[in-house]
Amino acid sequence: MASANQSADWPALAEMMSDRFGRLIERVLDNLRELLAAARPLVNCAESALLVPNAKGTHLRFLVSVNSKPGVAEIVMQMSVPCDRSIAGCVFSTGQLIAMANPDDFYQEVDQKTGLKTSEYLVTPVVDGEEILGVATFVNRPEGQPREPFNQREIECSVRVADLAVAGLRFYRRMLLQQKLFESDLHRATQRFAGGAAAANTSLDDATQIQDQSPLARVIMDLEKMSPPDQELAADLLGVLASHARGNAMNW
Amino acid sequence: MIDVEELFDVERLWQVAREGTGRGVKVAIVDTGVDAEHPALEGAVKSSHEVAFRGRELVCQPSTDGDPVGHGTACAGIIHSLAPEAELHSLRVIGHNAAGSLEQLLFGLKWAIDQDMHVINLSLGTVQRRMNTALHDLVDRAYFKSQIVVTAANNQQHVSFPAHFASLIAVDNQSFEDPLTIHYHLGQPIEIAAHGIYVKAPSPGGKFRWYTGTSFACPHVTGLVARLVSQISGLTPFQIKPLLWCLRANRVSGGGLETGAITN
Repeated sequence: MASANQSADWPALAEMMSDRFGRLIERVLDNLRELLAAARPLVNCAESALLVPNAKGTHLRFLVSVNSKPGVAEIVMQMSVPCDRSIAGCVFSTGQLIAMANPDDFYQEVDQKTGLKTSEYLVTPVVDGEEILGVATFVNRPEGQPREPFNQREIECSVRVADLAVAGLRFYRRMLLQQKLFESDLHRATQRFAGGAAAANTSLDDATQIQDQSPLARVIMDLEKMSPPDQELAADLLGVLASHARGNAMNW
Repeated sequence: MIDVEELFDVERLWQVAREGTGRGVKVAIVDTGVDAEHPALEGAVKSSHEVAFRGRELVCQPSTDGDPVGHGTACAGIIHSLAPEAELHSLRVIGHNAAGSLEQLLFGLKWAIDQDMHVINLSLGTVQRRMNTALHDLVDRAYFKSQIVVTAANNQQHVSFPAHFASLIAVDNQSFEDPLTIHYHLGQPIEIAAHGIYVKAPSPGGKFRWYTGTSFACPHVTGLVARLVSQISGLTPFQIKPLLWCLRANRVSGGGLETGAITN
């Protein structure tokens, strides 16, 4: 009789599932990209982007970027800006919108790498209740238009766009977390298949128990060492994890 | 009935405000630091400190890092332009091994209060409520020590703190020709509006930028307050609000009530 391992390419199936999940996240990002693209004529800007904090909250990375020149998005998507040395970081830290004209030293690395010259700059925080999820940036006038600062109406438009981005960013964060959990589940399943009969007969050996326990122990120990902003982020993520776990319990 | 305004000599008050220079007034700028060497500041920055994590502990230490962002330098420049003889004291609470935590803000505010600053400029705030009690207590502590705290409202009309506390002066932004012009908003948590739309202000490295935001309206009021404090002995937070009310430009003829909406 043929074994289950001989009848299907299980790793390939797992990879297909993982790939499909990844594409779901891409669709969320596409949605945010479309929002920013639609925002450009409303705010009357040439470039727009959404930046989100890294896990430690020390840097903001470009999550999506919509640009007037080809190739720029690819460059900025590889970049991050330090929270303590940039206007975007300042807006993220304080939740206070800032619009500037001639911000020649806003954080020059971006201009140096993209070859663009930032002359009008509007940074709007993406605020969800008591949490700042990231910032939306709007840069320069479209080509051929006079170089003038963003006016009050355009600033208000940027606020509306940031408000709309909240739902997308929340969804993205949850999807990202779900993806990690999903991949971890898949990984465990494929490991079981690879282990074959021997592994199937051994439900939980000592080593697995230690492996299962140690991440939680590590999280608790790490939490103690974290700075308050990191602890906040961890609390948020643990909250999502807890709801996920509760959801699983109900589904089972 | 008597209109309360009749009891004030508004013209005399304007004269006092216009003649004030900020002499003898210590102003704390709790922000991203200040580029003290900027020519526009003309040596007005008398001290620079930063609140930083040393391990798990927060400490306030002398800072030589200037202002890597530019926000605090702009605020300092605006205050100095209005109150050129005021002593400016920079306290960096945003940056330096943390992106600006609530704990840093609280620690910095406490430090400014303990240093007996006369006026404290807070062009920042938070939408989080988790440390509201501590923040409220600190702002009250400043109030009872006769220290005047001026803070920026949230630009997007989110409820933010400490701007929604009543014991300080919270500032919204509008566009005014005269940097000393203010508006009063009756019945709003954000009582004052000042010039905060494309304000030319110094930027680190001897440069200038044009800024928009409540962050830059706030130092206009701080500058005006510093002028008044330098002219009127023992001016308290309790006394400053009616004076600002008298100086408002959106006065309604016939003693009516101003209902000016928050604009930004």
